[in-house]
Amino acid sequence: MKYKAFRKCLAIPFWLFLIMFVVFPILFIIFYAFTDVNGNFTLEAFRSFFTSPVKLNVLLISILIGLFNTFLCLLIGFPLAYILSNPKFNKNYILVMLFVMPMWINFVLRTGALRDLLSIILNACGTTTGEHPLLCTMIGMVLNYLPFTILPLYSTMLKLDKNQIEAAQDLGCNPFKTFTKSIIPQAMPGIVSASMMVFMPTISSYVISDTLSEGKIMLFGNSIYLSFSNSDWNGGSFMSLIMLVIIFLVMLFTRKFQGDKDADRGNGSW
Amino acid sequence: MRAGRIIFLLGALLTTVSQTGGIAETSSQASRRYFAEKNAVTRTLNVYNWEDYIAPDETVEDENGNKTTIKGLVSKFEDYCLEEYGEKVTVQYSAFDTNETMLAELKTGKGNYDLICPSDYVIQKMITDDLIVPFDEGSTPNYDKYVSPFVLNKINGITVDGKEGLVGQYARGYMWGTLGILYNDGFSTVKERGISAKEMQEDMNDWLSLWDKKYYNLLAIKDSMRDTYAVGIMKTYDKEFTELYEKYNNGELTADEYNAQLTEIFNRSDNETLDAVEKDLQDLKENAFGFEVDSGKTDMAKGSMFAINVAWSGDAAYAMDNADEFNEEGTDKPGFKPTILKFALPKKGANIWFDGWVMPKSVETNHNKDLAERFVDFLSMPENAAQNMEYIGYTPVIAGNDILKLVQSWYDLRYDEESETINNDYLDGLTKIDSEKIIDLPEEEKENYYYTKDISYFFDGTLEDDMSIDNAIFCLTADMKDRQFDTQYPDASVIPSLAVMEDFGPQNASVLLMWEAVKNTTLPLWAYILILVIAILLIGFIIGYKIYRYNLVKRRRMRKMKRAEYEKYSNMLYKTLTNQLLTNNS
Repeated sequence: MKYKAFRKCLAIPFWLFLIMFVVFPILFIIFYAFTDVNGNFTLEAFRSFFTSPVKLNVLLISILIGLFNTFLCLLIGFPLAYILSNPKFNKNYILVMLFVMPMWINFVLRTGALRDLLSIILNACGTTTGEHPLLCTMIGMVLNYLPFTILPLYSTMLKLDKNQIEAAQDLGCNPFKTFTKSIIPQAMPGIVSASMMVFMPTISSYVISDTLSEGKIMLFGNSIYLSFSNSDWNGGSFMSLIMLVIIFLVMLFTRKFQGDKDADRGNGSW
Repeated sequence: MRAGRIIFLLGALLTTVSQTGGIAETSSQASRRYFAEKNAVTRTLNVYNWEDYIAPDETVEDENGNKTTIKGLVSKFEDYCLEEYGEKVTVQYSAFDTNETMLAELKTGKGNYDLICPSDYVIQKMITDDLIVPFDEGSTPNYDKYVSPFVLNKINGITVDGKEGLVGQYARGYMWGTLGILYNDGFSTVKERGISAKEMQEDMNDWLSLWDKKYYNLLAIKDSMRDTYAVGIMKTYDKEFTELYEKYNNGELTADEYNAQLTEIFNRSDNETLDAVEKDLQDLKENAFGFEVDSGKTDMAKGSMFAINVAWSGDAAYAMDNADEFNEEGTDKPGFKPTILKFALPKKGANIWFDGWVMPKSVETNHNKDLAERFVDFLSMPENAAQNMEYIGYTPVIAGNDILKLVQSWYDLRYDEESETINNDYLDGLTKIDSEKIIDLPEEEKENYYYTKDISYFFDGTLEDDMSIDNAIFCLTADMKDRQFDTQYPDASVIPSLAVMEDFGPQNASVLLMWEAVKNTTLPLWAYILILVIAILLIGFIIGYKIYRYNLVKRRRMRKMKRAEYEKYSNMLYKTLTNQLLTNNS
């Protein structure tokens, strides 16, 4: 009995940390989102956000770019992770290391270097980075978020049930059907967590789009930054709240999704 | 046994405490006296300034490898206080990166500062919001003596709540500059398009060239609301600006009238203007390579990315210096092309700005007002302003002999380093000019290779002793045209067309919305329709799938129920049958 109470006390720093750095900031965001400059309650930020076609458009474009980036990352990351999970190709995890290594370099530096590199390549093709803001941004996004896709996919791929795949092949599935009926359902938890780790950060990313599109593409993160840097704290907080709501919705959706699959297949998520 | 030990321990403890207490008392008495002597005059001044905006301590190495430290202005001020006032002052120096972060910090009551250095429009806002206190009259004698009347005039011309002259009471100027166009006429694409250096130089004297398809994808504009707005308004009201310019040139308007009318147009921010500016800025975005805030100056200095950059004068001078350094380093490399950057101030109108020192209200609770005023006055001494200018590259608002001499030593071709004066003989014979080109030329062509420039508007009324206003007329080699000197001190001819951009006031939120609309990426209409169709299809599919699943489950459940019922009945039937059989048998 005595030890139980003591063990509960050990959690106090953790709770304090949570309250200080998670709960309080969120409360502050909510407070600023529904007050005006003088601290009085108002729905002005709510009204101005949902009546501004510009802000809604920024949100739409961010979501589209986020979806597109998630799709591209999965398209490239899935086969890569499948190959990496095969010990024949990936001796001593060196290949995995190679793909994860860029994450150790500060991503602002990486983005700056990429800008110069893209400029050289595009200049050789007779054009410039300023003419293709979307292309450059997408290249930057995919390169930056690919490690985040590969890691969760790789760890689920390691746990793939080889027997099930073999059984599917033996029982007459063609390679495509084996892929859709056996590999994808088994890798679903990895796919879901990889999408989560790419989609949301893409929407709120700020440096990549700013640097690589030469300031021509504004994502939701840039919009929030713009509000705060022009001392419109209330509008900025409301947009941050919208971000939080989107994160919450996405998590709800994927959790339900994952839950179904977990029940069916009994797989753990990453 | 145990109690006895505790008492013993307590006793021991008590004796040690009393012993050490006794010793501590004597030593603390001494130290208290020692600190009392110093403490009485130790003061702290909290200064909040832009990053890299004051000359720091520098270590200089001479040819023999001896290192000497040149004291920065903060350390010099601390020495100055000790020597002149017998006070030990420490300067707590911190830096901010944008006006807005600084303002937000001040408004929320965080940060305890005695002296801040914001830009002109922020000072205006601070006075309106009652965040700062005015300087005492006569508290900054050096500033009053040496500040350029030209800048002071601009400072006092700003209206706060309809009143002029308030900014001059609340603020003391620090640095000033302009917003113009930095360009590189040797850029490869510029040459490919067949634009000659002369043509480009002429084009850059007009903001409208930024909209010209000739310069498509060659220019970067500022990713900053106010600065790009200033560029946009020059296009929107170009007709009126041109009209004014012609009137002024015909002599129908005096310089002051011209400037007043120009400033009025320049500061329009009503809703109609905003709509028109938004449209023009959208076009500008189409024509531009991109937006930048800080990266532009390095890209320009490297001669990469773009050829034209809307730039602040200080940044432009910095980029030119950097480009010159790169050129020096690169001369030996094969295939190296030097980058020569030039700066143009469009003649029909441009933005002039200044940063100034203000004292927030906390200076009074800190009892540091006299110290803050002393610091500002110290920075306004010409020799200190000169040191600042040498390091920062921006132009101080301070004029006076020392500044003039410094600028002469940098730029004037008649400057004699040995006697440290201007020697007019050099101009007649053109013998001691750095530029070898001039020496080798025939006499009649020599005068094409230098030009004179009058910046007496800036030094007027601040010169003394051996220097007169005639000394403010410079002779420069022709390759200095549109270069560092012209960047730091604009030509007298463009001075009447420089306008201060005031705070947007209540229109600030609308301007921000306009700016967001400019930055926003819009898709073509078909893309929106496509997205809508896909979204509807997706939602329809999900709903259809749910209904299908629901029906499937329902049907399964019904089947299960039926089976259960059937089993129940069959069980019952079985039971009754067996029962009957059993009873029959018995």
